This record gives sequence, structure tokens and C-alpha cells, in this order.
Amino acid sequence: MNLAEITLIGTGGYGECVLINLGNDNWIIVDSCINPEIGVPQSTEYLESINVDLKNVKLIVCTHWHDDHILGISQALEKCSQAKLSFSKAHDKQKFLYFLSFDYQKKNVEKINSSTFEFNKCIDIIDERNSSLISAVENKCILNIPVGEFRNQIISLSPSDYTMEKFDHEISSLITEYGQPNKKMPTDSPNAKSVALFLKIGHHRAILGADLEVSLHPKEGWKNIVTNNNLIDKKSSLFKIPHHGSENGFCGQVWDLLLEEQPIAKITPWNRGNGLPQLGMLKKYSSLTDKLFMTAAVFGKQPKKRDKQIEKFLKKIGHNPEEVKFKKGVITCKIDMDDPNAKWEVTLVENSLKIEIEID
Amino acid sequence: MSNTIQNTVQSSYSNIDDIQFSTSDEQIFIKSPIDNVNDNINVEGMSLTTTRIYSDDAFRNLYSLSKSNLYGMSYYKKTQKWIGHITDIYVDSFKAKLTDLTSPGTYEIDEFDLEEITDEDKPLLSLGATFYWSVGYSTSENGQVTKESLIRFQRIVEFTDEDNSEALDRASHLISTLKWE
Amino acid sequence: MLQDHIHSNSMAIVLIGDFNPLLFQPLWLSEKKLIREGEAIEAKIDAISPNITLFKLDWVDFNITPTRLEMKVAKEPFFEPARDLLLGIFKYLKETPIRILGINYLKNLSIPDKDMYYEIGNKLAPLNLWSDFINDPRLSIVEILEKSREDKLPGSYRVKIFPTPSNYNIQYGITINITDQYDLNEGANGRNGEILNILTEQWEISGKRAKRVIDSLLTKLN
Repeated sequence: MNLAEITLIGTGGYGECVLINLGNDNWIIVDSCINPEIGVPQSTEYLESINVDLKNVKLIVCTHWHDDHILGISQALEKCSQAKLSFSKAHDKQKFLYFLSFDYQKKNVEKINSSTFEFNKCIDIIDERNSSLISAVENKCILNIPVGEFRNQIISLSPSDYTMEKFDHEISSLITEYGQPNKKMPTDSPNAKSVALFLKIGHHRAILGADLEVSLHPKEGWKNIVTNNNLIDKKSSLFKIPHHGSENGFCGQVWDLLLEEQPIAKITPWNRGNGLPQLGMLKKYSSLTDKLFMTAAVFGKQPKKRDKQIEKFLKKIGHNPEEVKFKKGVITCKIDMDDPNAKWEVTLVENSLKIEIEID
Repeated sequence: MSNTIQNTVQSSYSNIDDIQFSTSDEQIFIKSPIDNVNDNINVEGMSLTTTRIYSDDAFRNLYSLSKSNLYGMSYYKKTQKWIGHITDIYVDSFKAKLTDLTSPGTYEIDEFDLEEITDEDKPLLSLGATFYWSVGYSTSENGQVTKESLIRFQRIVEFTDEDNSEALDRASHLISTLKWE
Repeated sequence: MLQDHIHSNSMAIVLIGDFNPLLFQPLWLSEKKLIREGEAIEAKIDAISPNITLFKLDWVDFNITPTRLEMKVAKEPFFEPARDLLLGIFKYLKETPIRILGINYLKNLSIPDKDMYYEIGNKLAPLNLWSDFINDPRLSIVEILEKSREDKLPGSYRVKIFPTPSNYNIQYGITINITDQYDLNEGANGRNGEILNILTEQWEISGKRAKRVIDSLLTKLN
């Protein structure tokens, strides 16, 4: 038996990450999340809890450059001394690196105003180590590991060339609009620049959807993947649903063409605004699979607990700041990669749960 | 500063070569070659205390005598502070992501009326702009307590040409050193 | 619990270096958009001269001499704006030699009764050591110095405890004053913004450490 593992950790608003064991203790980390109270990256905390030597982490994938998606990733990269770094590379490298460097300077006056602090730190680490960067673009194998008779692979499905060309133009306006040291670039989510991944693990396949959206343009997002991918060789039995189960992340053709019947489907909720996923989308996903899991329930907004007099005063002046609570959930999925008939074994830890909704 | 105060001060420090009364009428400056100036005098029922603020060979000792000390300090009790980043702007209001500076940890989202912004700060309102928000109990110099909600936009010097060059230098360095697969 | 008797917090940032007091004027600060124009107009100016500049804005007091700059911030909401203001000033006065940074945190406690107040003094420095030869001894000031900084940076760390100044109008007031001092590294001349970089890098760490020190101290004194 040769066990592979895909574990999803969600936090409700402090990032998410996926830990992948491609077999023979070859680990990959996708994105990052933290416990905001203590600031520790959940990825390395999980790996250390199951006695994984962090030297066995071969690759860290950054599906987006904005800090909100990758909190703690630089700490994780620091700890994983052998890991390479992969992210989507802009066509105009000079411009992209200038954009990053420009935003990074904000740390000299107010670190929290930089939206790319984590990403920049990762680049500094890679530069110091003299290690390689692996560009993640459509239809590219970014990692290839021989395990027994198999060549297990991580394949990036996005972003498309068209998307990255568009991004080159966007960079200038981002610098103009948010370049001042007292301004912070807002999170760009969902988006077409996000790196979706296809995993080949023995006989089995999985798709990690990151925050990839369904764009209007056929050469972007999921439409482009469905139409133009050339490395997806088999349907996937596990799907990490994109962008917290939002409508923008749903593409029916993905379910029809790229996923097996009743796949394992995993969602990390987003506890801001009206919350994601909305009930309507949960029902939709439930109609597509009876193996739907979430790292935590979406829950109602409550104010943060603080000094009673301050709480009263806030109420009196009509302020009711909604706390984005940290709610961690872990969904671990393991499978025997040697057995073509094997099924994923799912373990739910902390706040994670199976979704069972009656469809009308 | 009243004549009584001036006269009392003059006679208390008759051995001192130079007494200057500041234009704000709240402080008196005394220059003296001696180190121990009488540090407490009473006048008109008030106690004035001296504070040595500067000394050097040329300047001798400069003391400040302040009656404003008597009115007490203004301070804040029970403060809760955040740093906010504007995420949405509407017609009469804006939404912001708030990072708690008092009890760091989870963040919050709140909506603010535009009327809560001081007129002079309004030009700084824009998407992504940084501001400080605090609520608490303010005590003024005369002891008056008020509940306050204060928004103040962050004022930082814009990036200079030198800063831009540094960013460009880093980018150029990375272009030449980073290896891509 | 002493933590229930916290009255107020204030801070002061001190720089030691070479300054020209004449350059520091409220209207110059507002021209550079470092403060609001209204604040500059309302400023109380006590002195502007080559040897000393003294002025007060609504939220910060400046005291500048040729070798020392001090900003006192009595109101907690303005701690971060004061730091921003200082960084902004020296962004414009770029090559000003600055050799030492001192961040002073002052926490005032309002102790409910005389006995508890004297007991705290007794815990800090046992008074029975003195009572044989000093009549009715009371603690006036205690200062503890950290001989080499916990973080190994050049500088020092001091904690001073004394009765709260009378202008706070606290009957039994105790002030804990932490001075977190950063010096230049050997060989540095202070003209390249080294000290201001420290202010930015250490601000959060320094604040957290001050909080930790005070919390630990109050717990021990309970």
C-alpha cells in the first residue's frame, strides 16, 4: 500500500492551505494560513504534528501574490529548507518585480500597508538560497516525482497566457492607484490569475481550484481550462472547490468533463460579508456529490469580546465591528495510489464537517 | 500673565540675571548660572513648579515655570485602537478592514459615515487608504471627561525618487539573480 | 488585581543627535502635510530659537534643543500618529545625524487606598531595611536597568517606578516608566537613517515587550 494524502486546512478568513503527500514522503504545500492569535503557519504546524521532516517538503505553491491568501507562507518557506517556490509569473518580469519591490518598501514605514510582504519575503529567501522559482502557467508540469511505477505530478492549469498578458497592463494602474505608502492594495478575489492545480497521484487524480473564477472571456479562468487543457488525462475523484464555493467559482463544465461522478468535494468557508458559500451554492454542490465537506460551518457575525464599557460605547455610537473569527478545520483525504479501485478515506478534524442537505 | 505673577516671580528669583515671560502667557523662562533654582513658588493661590529643560555653558540653565501644570494633564482612559484600510466607498459611508491594535489577533469589518471624518482628512479618503480609529474616555486638562470616537487618516511622506530607485535596483538585482524553471 | 487599577498610558519618544531647533515649526509640518493645517494654526508656541524650540499641538508636545528632540504624547490614540510624524519629519531632514532612540512608555495606576499604595512600595524595596535609622521610610523612585538587552541590540532597557506627577490628579498614583533605548551599531554615523529604521522595525516589538514587562510586574506585585 502506497498512501497519498491531500489535506485541506481552512480558517474562515485567515487563508487556507493544502498539504499533499505525493508518496514516499514527498510533500507539497499549496498556499498558507495562520492562527491570527499566535501567527504560526498551519501548514508546518500540521506537518510537524504528524512527524514529517520539513526537509521532505519539495515544493511550495503560491496561488496568488496577495498576502490575504498566503499568510505565514514566508515562515513556512523558511522552515522548509529544501522546498522550491512556484507561482504565476508575469510576462513582463521586470515590471512585476518592480511592482513587488515598490509595494515591499511600505514595510519601511508601515508593514501592514504592504499587500505583498509575504510574497516578497519568499522571493528574498529564494534569492538568498540561490534556489529556483518555478513559474506556474497553464498546462505546465511543475513537479514530477517518481514513486514506484508511477510518475506523480503536479500540473498547473492556470493562469492562461491571455490572463498574464492582461495582468502586465494592470500592474501599472495598481502602482498608480495604490503605490502610496499610506495605501494598501485590496484583495483581488476571485480572479483569473489564481493557480489551479491538477494532481496525478498513482492511479488517481485531483483538482485544487484555489480562487480561480469563471471569467467572461473564453481564454480565462475555468472556461479556458475546460477548453484548452492538454495535460488532464483522466477525471478527478477529488476536487477542492474554488473560491469558498462562490457562484463566481462554479463552472458546470468542470463537473461534467473533469470530475468523476460523486467526487470528494472540499470547501473552505469565508466568514466576511454575507459569508461563503451561500446556501444556494451548497445545495447546488450537494446535488452534484454526496461527499461534500467543509472545513467549518459559515456562522453568524458577532462582535469581538472586549471591555464592557467600550462595547457599550461602540453600540451607542452605532458601531458594531464584525469580527472575522478564526475557525480552523482540517479535512484529510488519503488513498492507496497503487489500487485503481481505492476510495478516498476522509478524516474530519476540529470544526470540519460533512454537508448533508436535502435537495428540494 | 498677570502683574502679580510677574512681580512674585521677579522677587522670588531676584538673584537671577534674566527672567523672560513667554508670549503664550503660560510659561516663564528663567536663565540662571546657578543649578538649584527654587523649584516651587506660590502665587495667587497657585503653585508653580520649575522644570529644567536645557543647559549648556553658553546658555546657562534654562528653567521653565509653568502654571498650566496646575490644570492637570489631558489623557485617555480605556482606549480601544484600530488601524483601518478602506475596502469600499459608498455615497455617504465607507467600509474598512480593521486590525485591532489594542488586542491583536482577529480582524474586524465595520462601516463608517463620511461625517465621522474631519474635513481636513477628507482629501485622504480613497480605496485602500489607511486610517487610525480609536474610541475611549478622554479627560481634558480641566478634568472634563468625554467619550470620544476619533478617526485620523495616516499621513506619511510619499515615496521619493530615491525610494523609486531603490525599488528599481531590487527589481534589477532579482531579474539577474533569480533562476526560473 | 493591579491590572484593574490602570488609569492611563502616555509615551515620549526621544532622539539624541544634532538638530537645528529653528527648523521645527508647526507651519512647516503642515506645509509638508505631516499634520493638519488647523493643528498648525492652533499650535501653542513657547519658543523658537537656535537653542530651543518648544511648541504644543493638541496631541503632542515638542521640545527640541541642538542635541535632543523629545515628543511627548499624553493621549493613547496618538501614539502611532506621533511615530508617523517623527518618521515624516526626518524623511525631509534626511541627513540629520541621529545617534540614540529612546521610546518611553508610561503607565499610570490609580491605587484605591493608602495601605495598598504603601504596600506596593514596600514590595519593590522592603522598607524594614530602613526603619531603624530613617523615620517612616517611603519609597520614592526605583529604577532597574537591563545590563545587556534581551535582543542583543546596542542600547539599554530601564524600568523606573515612581509616584505619579500631581498634575494627573490621582491621589495614590504610581507610574511605571519603561525606557527602551536603542543606540547605533559600532561604526555607524547616524546619518543614514539607521535610528529611524530601528523605530519602524522595532515599534511593534518594543510595544509588545513593554506590555509584557508591565503585565509581569503587576502580576508579581499583586
